[in-house]
Amino acid sequence: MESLNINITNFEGPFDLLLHLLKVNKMKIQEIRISEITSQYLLYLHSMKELDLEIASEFLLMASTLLEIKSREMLPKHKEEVDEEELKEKLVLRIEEYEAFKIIAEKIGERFRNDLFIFTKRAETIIQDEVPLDKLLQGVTMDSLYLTYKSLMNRQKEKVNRSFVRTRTMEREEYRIEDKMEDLERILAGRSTFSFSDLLTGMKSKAERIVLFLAILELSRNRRIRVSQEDVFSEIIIEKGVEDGR
Amino acid sequence: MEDKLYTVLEMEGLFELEPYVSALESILFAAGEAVRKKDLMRILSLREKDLDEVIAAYQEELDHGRRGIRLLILENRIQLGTKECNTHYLKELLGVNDRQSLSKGALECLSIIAFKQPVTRVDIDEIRGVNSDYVIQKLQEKGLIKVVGRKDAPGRPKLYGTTDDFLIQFGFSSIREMRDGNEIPERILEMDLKKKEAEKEDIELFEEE
Repeated sequence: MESLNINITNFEGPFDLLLHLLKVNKMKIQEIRISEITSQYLLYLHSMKELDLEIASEFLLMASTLLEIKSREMLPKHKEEVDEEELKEKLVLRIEEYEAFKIIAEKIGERFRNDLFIFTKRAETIIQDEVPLDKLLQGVTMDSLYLTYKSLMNRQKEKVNRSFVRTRTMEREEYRIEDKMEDLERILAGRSTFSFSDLLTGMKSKAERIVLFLAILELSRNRRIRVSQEDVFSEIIIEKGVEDGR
Repeated sequence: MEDKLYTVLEMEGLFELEPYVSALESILFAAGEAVRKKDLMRILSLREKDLDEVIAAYQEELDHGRRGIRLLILENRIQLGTKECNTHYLKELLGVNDRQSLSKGALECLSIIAFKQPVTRVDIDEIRGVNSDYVIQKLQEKGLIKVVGRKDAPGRPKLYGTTDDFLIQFGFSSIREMRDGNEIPERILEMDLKKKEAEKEDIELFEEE
């Protein structure tokens, strides 16, 4: 293949590059010859790499799409859900759509550069006479003022959070998943099933419950126990795992 | 209360346009900013059809007369603006600097939003083949686009649309005018319509003020 003289211009994205390659090759979008374009596209990416330019992931994504279509074209046809024609058609559509917007962008860009301003006037400020005080206070009584004040103060009071004032002792919590796992297995040695909520009742703190739950997850992952539930939010039943039965 | 200055001739399809055109001009001049068609209908007590006729007559007069004012029809609002051809003098008068140009990417993004609005960032990315985060942010800062709603999809993504300022700065009187001047292949438009139809219920637009 003749060496392509690639002009490293700034491409807006993979579609921009594809359009450029199509133009260089005088190919219409609909008549895109994937294998040719793919090798040129990759060549371009290589030259970018040589120049130590960072290749944006979008360009790599496009490369993989091109390669996929190309390789499918080369392989004997299988009965597959998507054939390469479909993929190609999709790609063609996307290039066309990008091209349409690229052209529009150029056109409106020209309009913008032409610097054709349209000036508009600010909204008119119409000065209004101040409302006299007696009109402003019309219908306001001492009573209604008091009630308004009261309800405002109440609203403010309700906003204040007093709950943290209560003193509480925090117990130091020390639970380990390993211990809980052992506990669980010990219980299971005695009986074949039990429910999750039964276990919870004996727990002292939230932390202990969480550790217990984690222990259950861990055991079920190791298939030491089996966990089942009939419905969402219904009781969780814990049984001995299959491993013991082997 | 004053008497109504003008009365509508109730004869079907026949009413005196001139007084309304005159009233419309005064209203738009006094308002300065864009006036909603809904408000104009109320103020002039006109039906939409008749108001459209009045607007069309006024626009005709402005466009073809030797006037320096043009009508901006910003979707459902109307505003007066200066004619583009006089930009040079106005810049001299107001001492406006040349504006910063927009990048290729920004213009692409803007075109897509103008055509497809309301549209999500993901949709824009899809078309451009690159991430548009930065460009969208810049366009928003420049006041050319704005968030117009949210899509009822995972993450409730923002929906973008163009602003009045976009129309004014690019010298379009409406989005339709912009679309008419820039053709998009039929195939793509059809595809788009189908997509829009399918997603109609997921689009939540913010109420306009």
